Amino acid sequence: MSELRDRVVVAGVGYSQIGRSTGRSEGYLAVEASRAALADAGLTPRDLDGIAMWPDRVSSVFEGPSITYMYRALGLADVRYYQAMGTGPAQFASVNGAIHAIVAGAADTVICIRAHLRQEQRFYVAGASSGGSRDARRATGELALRAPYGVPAGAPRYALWAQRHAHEYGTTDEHRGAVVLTCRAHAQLNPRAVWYGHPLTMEEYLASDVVSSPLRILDCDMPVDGAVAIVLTRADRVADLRARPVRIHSLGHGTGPTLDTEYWPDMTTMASRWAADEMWAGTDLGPADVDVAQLYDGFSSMTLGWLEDLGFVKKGEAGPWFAEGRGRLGGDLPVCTDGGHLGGGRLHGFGKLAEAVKQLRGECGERQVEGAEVALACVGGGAIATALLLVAG
Amino acid sequence: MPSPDLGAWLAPPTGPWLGPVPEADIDSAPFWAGLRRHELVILRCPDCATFVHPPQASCPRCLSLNLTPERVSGRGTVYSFTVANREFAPGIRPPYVVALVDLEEQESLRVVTNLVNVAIGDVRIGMPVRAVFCDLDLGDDAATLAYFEPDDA
Repeated sequence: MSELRDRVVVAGVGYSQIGRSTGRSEGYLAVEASRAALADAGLTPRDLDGIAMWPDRVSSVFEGPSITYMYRALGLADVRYYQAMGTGPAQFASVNGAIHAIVAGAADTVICIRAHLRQEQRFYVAGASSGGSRDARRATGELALRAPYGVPAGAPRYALWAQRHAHEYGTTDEHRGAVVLTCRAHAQLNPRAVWYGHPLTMEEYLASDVVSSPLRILDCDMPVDGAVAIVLTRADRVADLRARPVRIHSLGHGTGPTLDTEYWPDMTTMASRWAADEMWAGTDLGPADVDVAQLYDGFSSMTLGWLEDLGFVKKGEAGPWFAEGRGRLGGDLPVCTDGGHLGGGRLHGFGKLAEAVKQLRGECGERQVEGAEVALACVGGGAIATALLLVAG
Repeated sequence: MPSPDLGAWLAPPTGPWLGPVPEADIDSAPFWAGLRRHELVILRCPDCATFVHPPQASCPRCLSLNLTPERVSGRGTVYSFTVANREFAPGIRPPYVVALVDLEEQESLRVVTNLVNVAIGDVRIGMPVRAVFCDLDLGDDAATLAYFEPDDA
């Protein structure tokens, strides 16, 4: 993996408007984010010779604009590389592909986009709606083995992991709550965050509904309309860029014992363990060198898993670590400094990369980690994971 | 929707089935046909004796393509569970308990299921359970699901 070390840089990052109900299409939001990312990079669509997206609308239960739509919407032509994946190593599947494509010489400058709408996330059984016709409720393949038991996607799938972790290591509601409060506190320093202006106490957290035990509603990230775009380019093109570049220093994909969420043998260790091992193998840096960590928080239990699997703490110690405030700004290792997806809104992993880049550029204002030079952007949970180690300059 | 009442009793579904309808394919047909007979049937490799679930064409250990259905005991233990308190799948009314049950025949030979005939608050990781079969009311058609209940024997 070390052959990709520092050979790709993040040239630009961009956000769309983010809100609970924007009234915009996912394509509109994706273009907003793309325009912002290109402006950030000091580039135009003509500078792009690649586009990568995960997922693609035609092939996945997760929605988003199709790559065909985005190619047309951005006015692209004659790109050398395009890729939309139905599945891959978590929310950075497109970013992984783009990095490898650039290292291999298949493209020079690739835009990666993630956009989705809040209201599309109610049911993940394709075409299903409550009371729908028998045909509309058909569950096939692997889904047939779990959807009839009320486990299509989302909280129940990952609650099963959280429950096992709690059983073996004594993880408590307050431990998960500490992750949520860390994110919510950081969201108060980020005007873009959906929970900006809405601080949270542990009492309020503990009073919130259990949606799928042990997970409460506030352990689940906040669905929003939103998009983030990332422009990646060859490291030898930094002179063309507007902003301070950020290097992709190391990358790890997690493929552990299976890709199945439910059939994973030991649910106290996520795919992030495998992603982390590969990422650390590709660098001379170690956990002590990391200044800021954007860890996936689709569910608070995943953030605990990442901290352990990355080697920052021993197994079972992530909960107490968060409870002691060590993940807060000013603590040992600030985590989810933009408020994460729990406090900022579900940008489905792309918010992790964008915030990591902004921290390494020193653009984070009140929530800036002073002198941050090394950052993590880690996405996925359960059976899927990607870990990125980023270095300033 | 407030948090679920731990004293609530979990019963198998009754009345017309409004939830997702499982559809068999070539690999999974023996599994679903077994459930129709009220038997838990898992594919097994005749060459290396490995049980294989979810249903698939091959044995992951030796790549044999000769997997054959075999009736198993239906006994296992709860690896993990969650009390679901939202309508996560259309037509599945909360609260219900999702469990991962590791069958006794082989390590980590796991099925996804719901626990029934037990109070929510009595569900524990590691509890012994056994399969109980429930025919779904689909009007002019039928399908059967395997639920699990405490195995007190």
